[in-house]
Amino acid sequence: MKGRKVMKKAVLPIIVLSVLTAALGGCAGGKAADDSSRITVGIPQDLDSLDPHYMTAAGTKEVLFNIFEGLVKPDQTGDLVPAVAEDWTISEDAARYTFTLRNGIRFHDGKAVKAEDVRYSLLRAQEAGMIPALEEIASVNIPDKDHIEIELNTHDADFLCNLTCAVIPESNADPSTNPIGTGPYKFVSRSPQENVIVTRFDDYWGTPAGIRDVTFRIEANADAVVMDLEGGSIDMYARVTSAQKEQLSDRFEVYSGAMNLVQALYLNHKFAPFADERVRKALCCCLDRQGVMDFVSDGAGSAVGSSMYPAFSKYFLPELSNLYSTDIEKARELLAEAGFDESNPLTFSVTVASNYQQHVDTAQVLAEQFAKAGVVMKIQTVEWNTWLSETYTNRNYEATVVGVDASTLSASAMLSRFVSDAGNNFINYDNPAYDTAYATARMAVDDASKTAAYKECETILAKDAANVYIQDLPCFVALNKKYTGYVFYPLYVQDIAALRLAD
Amino acid sequence: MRYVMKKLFSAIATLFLVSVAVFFSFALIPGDPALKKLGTQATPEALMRLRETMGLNAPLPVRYLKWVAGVFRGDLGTSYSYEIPVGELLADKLPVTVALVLFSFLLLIAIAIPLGIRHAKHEGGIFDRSFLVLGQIVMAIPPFFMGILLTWFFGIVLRVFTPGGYVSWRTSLTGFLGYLFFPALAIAIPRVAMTTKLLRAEVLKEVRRDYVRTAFSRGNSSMAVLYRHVLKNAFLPVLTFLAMNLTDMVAGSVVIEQVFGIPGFGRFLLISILGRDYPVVEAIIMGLAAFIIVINLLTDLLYRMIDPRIGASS
Repeated sequence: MKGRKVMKKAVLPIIVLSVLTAALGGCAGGKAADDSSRITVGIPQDLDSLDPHYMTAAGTKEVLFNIFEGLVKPDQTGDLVPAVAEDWTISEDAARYTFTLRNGIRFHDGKAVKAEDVRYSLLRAQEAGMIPALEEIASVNIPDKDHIEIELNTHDADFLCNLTCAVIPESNADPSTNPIGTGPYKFVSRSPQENVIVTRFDDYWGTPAGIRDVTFRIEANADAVVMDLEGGSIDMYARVTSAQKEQLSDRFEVYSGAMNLVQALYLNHKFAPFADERVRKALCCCLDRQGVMDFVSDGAGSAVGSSMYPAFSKYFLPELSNLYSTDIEKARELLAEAGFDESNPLTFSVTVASNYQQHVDTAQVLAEQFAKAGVVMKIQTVEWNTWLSETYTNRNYEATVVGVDASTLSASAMLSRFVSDAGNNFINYDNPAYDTAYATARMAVDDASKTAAYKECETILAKDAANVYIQDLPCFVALNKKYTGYVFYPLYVQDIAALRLAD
Repeated sequence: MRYVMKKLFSAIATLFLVSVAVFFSFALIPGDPALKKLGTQATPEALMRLRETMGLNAPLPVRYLKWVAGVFRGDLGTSYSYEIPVGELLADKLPVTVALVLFSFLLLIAIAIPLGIRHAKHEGGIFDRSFLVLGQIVMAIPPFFMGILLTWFFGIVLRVFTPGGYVSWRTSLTGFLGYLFFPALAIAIPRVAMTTKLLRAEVLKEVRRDYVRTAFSRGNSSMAVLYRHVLKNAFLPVLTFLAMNLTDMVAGSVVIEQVFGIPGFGRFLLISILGRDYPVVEAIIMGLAAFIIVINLLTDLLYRMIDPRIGASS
């Protein structure tokens, strides 16, 4: 009998503890308040910097788009529209850009934006070195308090797209921890690896944001996204996979768009077999794009045939993706001409960053497709930083599957890297005809001849089979139906200000 | 005293070896923190400038000595990714991991000890036997999978908590502890099974000894015998096991933080390794190593207090 008492005494603390913790658990559950003036947006990784002149990751740019603006900013159609500048003129030789500052525009700290702030920002960004094109700036002059004049070393009709570069106040001593801009949202707080909180800027010059408080919450575990959306800890996630899309309940609207990048099997032209045009063309003949799309994203995706994606509608040439049709016999013939056959098969390794599942999946499909023509492609997965230093920077690889995107709204952002002496020419492409075509495009001042020259560049890349071009990957954005108004941009942008509560 | 000194010396030597291993192993793996920070668009000049600012151009031994000197001054360096002092950065995350580990340790003790005693008392009963089987199954489940199971059942099916809905301790202490309950449980459960089994076995071993019979024959109640005699002896191995578990639970928290989306040390360590944020990685690993060494040291000393024969010969 006494033993039973002992047992009861021992069990009591467990019961007390369980009840207590269950009660506490209840509190946590109740925290997901149904306050309609706020939204929690899941983002895949933490911001790499809060300083707009030093940020690099696409995932950072898409968040800071809501806080900062340049003299101009991109809109949903891919045009540049006035932001801090109200208006501008470009000299006939495209070497001098003159901007009129927007009347009455203010920073988040309440101070008026002055021409000096614009000059300070441009020179600071130039020194930071993150936007190479800003090197072209010879001087920034202030003719009067409402105008700012940018003189270039060379004439460049594309220069405007670099002026999305953030305008920040000269008076801010610490831009890396206390970001101040002119955008529709102002910074509130940041907790590393946890969240970034912003709130509506009431003195915004343009259309005010639809939702007041926004929390960008870092979703470290991509596999938990569906659970977090359904559980209510996030309301929006811009990178759901096609498998996750299927798992979501009807409380969510899924917006389909494009990632705006060119996914390809990029070939290192310094690797002996790929210096041979016939080998590259043979690989293009093995490719079955639909097969890749079916496996990677249930058939979604847009075919691309050169280094340009469809959102750049002005430059994109859809016909280039039909240049090589799937033809295994032809591939075998080309390989035989180049000296590869069954006894001596073409063998190479493809290096893929393991954090990009789509690229790893794509490599697997490609390996099977190439095998049909007797090509042996070995897949080697590495972690992203290793990819960045070994593959991208040191160019120590044979082939790689990756998506290349554009940093600005100009064709040159996609095409400049294939000029033979470009610092970021990671495929070691060396084609004098391409260099000439690209130089012509850069030098052209009038828009029609410039566009034609860029199209010529794309055509050269495709006809030369510079890389095995595959697709622009699909992008699925899940948004709780409490909200509406999501819009896609042709760049990495999450325009949270456009969101509003559903009726 | 000599025993204490000896243990202390070996603890310091271990810490030193860990610091060297951590620092130099990063020199071997590919990846450049400056390149990681600047990405693919930066100019080579900007890259060189940043490497200089980060102090990456100095030879490795020089960097190591600078770092050690900094640690002794209480300066852990500045995070490459966040540009704020590492100490400040981690001070914010420390309570999270400490709370998680302590919480699960408390759960472990609160559940395992009464359960173990109960089992021993009812040896061979239906409860005892079924729990032995259940315990065996639970022990085989890795904590991360236990985490997923708990999230699914309590979060999605029963909706007791919001998966991923972590609440900062700054915002709400009850919300914070409430969210930590299930992660703590996921860490504790397999260890509860192990501790229960061990305690049961130890108690059963002890009750068969002669001194127990003697104690009963002197008229002691069964409760007095159990708590004053049997448990005292049965506890010794369990104590070591619990101490070993405490260090192990810190390691377990690294995984569990990832599953439940808790921004503590574990997640920070992972992100910082991937981001090549060396000052943060070094600080966290050294902190964890120091913690484990201190716990081991304390266990050794405590052990000797309970049983003075240990270490007497040395």
